[in-house]
Amino acid sequence: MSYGIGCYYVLEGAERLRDLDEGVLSSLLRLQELTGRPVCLLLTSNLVWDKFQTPGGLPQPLLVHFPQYSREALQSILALDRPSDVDEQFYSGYLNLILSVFVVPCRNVRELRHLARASLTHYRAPVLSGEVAPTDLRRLWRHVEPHLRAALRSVYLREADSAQWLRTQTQLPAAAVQPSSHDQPGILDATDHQRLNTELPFYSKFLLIAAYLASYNPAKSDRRFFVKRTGKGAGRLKARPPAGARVSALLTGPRAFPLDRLLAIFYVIVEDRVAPTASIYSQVSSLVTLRMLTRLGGSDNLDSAKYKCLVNFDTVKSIAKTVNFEVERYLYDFV
Amino acid sequence: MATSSLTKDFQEEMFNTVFHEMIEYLQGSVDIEEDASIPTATLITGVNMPDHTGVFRSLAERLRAQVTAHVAVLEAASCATVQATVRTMVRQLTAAGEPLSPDVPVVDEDEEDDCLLDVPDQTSRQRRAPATMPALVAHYEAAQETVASPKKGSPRKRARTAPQRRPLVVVWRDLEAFQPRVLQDLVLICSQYRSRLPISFVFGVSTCASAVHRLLPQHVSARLSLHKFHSQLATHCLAEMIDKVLLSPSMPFRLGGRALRLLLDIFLYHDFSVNNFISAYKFCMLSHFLWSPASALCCEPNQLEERVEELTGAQVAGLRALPSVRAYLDDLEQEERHTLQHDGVFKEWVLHMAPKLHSKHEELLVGLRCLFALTKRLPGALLGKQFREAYNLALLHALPERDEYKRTFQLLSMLSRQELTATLEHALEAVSGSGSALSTVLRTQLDRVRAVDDRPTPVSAEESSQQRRLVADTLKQATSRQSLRESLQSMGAARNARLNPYETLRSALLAELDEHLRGLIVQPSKWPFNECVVFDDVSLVRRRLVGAPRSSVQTALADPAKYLQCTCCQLGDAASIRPTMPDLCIVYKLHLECGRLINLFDWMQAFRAVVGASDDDQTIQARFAHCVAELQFLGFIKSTQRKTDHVARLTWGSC
Repeated sequence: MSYGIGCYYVLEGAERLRDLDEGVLSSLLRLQELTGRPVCLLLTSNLVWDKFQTPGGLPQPLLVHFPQYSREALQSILALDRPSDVDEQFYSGYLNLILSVFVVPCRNVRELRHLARASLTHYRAPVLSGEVAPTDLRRLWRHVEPHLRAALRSVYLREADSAQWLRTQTQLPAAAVQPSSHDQPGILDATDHQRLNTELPFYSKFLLIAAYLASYNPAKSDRRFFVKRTGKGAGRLKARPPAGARVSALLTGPRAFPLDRLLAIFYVIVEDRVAPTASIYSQVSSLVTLRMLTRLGGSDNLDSAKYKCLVNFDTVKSIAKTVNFEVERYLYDFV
Repeated sequence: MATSSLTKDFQEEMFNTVFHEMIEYLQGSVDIEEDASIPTATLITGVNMPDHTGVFRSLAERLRAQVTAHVAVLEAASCATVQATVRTMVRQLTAAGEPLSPDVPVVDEDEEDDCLLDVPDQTSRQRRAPATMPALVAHYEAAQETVASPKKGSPRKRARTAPQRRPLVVVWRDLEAFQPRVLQDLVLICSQYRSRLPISFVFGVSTCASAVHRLLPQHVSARLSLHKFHSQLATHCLAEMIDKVLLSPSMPFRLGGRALRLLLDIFLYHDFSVNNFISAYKFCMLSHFLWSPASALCCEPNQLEERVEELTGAQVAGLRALPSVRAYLDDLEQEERHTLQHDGVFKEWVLHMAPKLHSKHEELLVGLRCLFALTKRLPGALLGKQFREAYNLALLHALPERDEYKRTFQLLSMLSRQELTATLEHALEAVSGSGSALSTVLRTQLDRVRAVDDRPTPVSAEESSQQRRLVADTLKQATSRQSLRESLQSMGAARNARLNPYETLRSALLAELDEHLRGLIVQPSKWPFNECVVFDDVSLVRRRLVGAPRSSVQTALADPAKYLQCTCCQLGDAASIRPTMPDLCIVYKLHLECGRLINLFDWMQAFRAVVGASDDDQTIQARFAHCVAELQFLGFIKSTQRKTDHVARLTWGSC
């Protein structure tokens, strides 16, 4: 029995429709009624229908819940990808292996297909060269295990497709023997160091540290940390609440600070005398462009520019170590 | 001069390897049969943002030449919304090869409502199809058809030269500056068109590879297949540039120690920009030729003769007055000095000495490279980790007198035979290209070290029996434990002082090497006539290269004669106020004398008194209010609620 539907519209990511004008979603849901044509609208989304409700109310569509794939379903879907020259039995054993390793962190079919495709050549290599029989699963597993473990470390990152990935895996043992990455910056470093660290100019590093201190220390504690004292207790602090009751600033997130405060802290923590040149100000802007600081209040408010530091503690700590500066000594939460 | 060609060559070479790899990847990117994932080359450029313009311009040129004509370069400043981004991208991709007439303003149909062009004649506007993705698809397929059906040639030739589909490359110049929402939407849109349009991306990332994952959620980044390409580190580029341009033998101009240190500080402390370094270097060169009269002799060696001929009497006197020349002349004998008083003889002497400057610099470089190679393998980088630090040290101080030099030779005298061989080989490699006497010396030394025997010399039978008798005698003569210990120690020292042949050779070799290096490494400020080619006047250029806005403003307000260069405002001492100064300066200096809160009325009365106007002059109030508003704009005062008619001072101190 046909319903006489002439045309189907499928909208993916339908939750974006909520951001548009209110009338759009309700009109789309009544598309057949408004146009008088035999059309059908299908909306797919990650969110439940309750999140779509508006104060004006929406006509109730037919809700279909698509459950997550079970392990057998994943195996049969992945088996559809089998290349024609691979034996079915062999491939299903391979898929079993892949699923047992990766199904715990990752159930996304796209990722699993990508991983299966990326590791297949490596798995088949000993069979093709004749060293191992196709049925000897133990030896095959031992051959492919380190490769899978390396892939497990960067499961969702998709940083390399098969060719570049294979190249880095073969370069790994060679690079471990002679660490000469200093001379050849072009070689891809398979460890995590190059992924996370950037090389900043000297004063930019101190500006970043100063921004971190300004964001995570309350303004009242500046006097205690950054003013040189002669020992007389002229500014005694009032009794602070015990450490358990205080909410750690690291949990609440960074606070906004004005530019003057940043520069004042910067001039204190840099040991040598720095002249307030235009380069310092332009470095602050560069840090904003690199998304290490963010500027609040819009760019037309020149007087009171407020900033916030977006870098986390580990990065600041590693940067401070390169300039021999102890960040913990100046942080309110650590004292 | 040859500077611009040298720097241009250098800039071309800097990114050669990385671009080559990237272009190969992009050329192959049409063939990738992934499930609608966009091949993406992530170029990690580093934080030196002033250099990025040049880099991406040369990348776009190479892409247009070697990969495809459809290249679009997107910048964050012009892509604030998805609509603007798509429009820019499609317009650039479809404009490949189409020359537009620049006079006629071109307007898209969907832009008509919000365009602000004030074109009087409506019909003269050229209409184009709106810049959307379906238009791009249509344009691309039309372009492929025209390319794929050549009119002439046999069918076999046509089949052989049938082109593959050309990829469409979109370059995102500064990825971190884009709005994340715009980037995500564009990636989703392009990945859906991937089956019809072979789009590839190039991401220009300044910080590190994880920036891509920070900007894109997982369901978006799953549609990209990322390839990382690292460009050279900025410090690496700087080292190469110094080698190829600053130290090049064809360059007659040299930087002095302080100037080089200023330029290196700007590079290392502020921005990692090689372009800014090159501009600063050119500025130093400009200042040298503009302000230093001795720079007439800074030229190629073949032009030197005619320059010396053209020297006037005043210029010769100037040359005679140079500090290095005066020091040299003082060392000479009385008669020689007397003969050089004559201008003609002096000119000949100049012609004799001037070419030596270049050869002395070459010698300095050879000696320094040898020394640097020797110290690189020793613990604790004595001369720095990079050659430029050693070079800077040699320019600033007399290197052989320094502690670093002495310590180097101390450490060298403790090396074993294998280590010394390796070190000497390293040093030989560093100087072998120059063909100087030092390389032959090193080669002979290396041969001798390889041939020598470093086993301890065997003790002959006679000597050992002699020793035993000596020990027995000492034991008999010893009166106390103290004297016995002393005599045994002196005997042991005497025995150890007899070195094996390797150690004697080592000390001899090092003494020879030391002598040679001392002859080569001479500080440039000791050479006569070095002021002609070496520029070291840092104070002249520092203000121009490193801008200090606040101190400039304060100087201008406190001492206007410095910038206006008028005779009426010359100040005796810094704090005095003259009525002829501009109003703003008077108001500024008066406010310096006040405390934290300034009473406006008193201030105005003081202003009136200084300017010397009568009480009923109405314009004084207007002038004063104008100046107060300007001071507030400059950030020296601000209005306050604490007291009425008062303003608060924002800066401290007086100047």
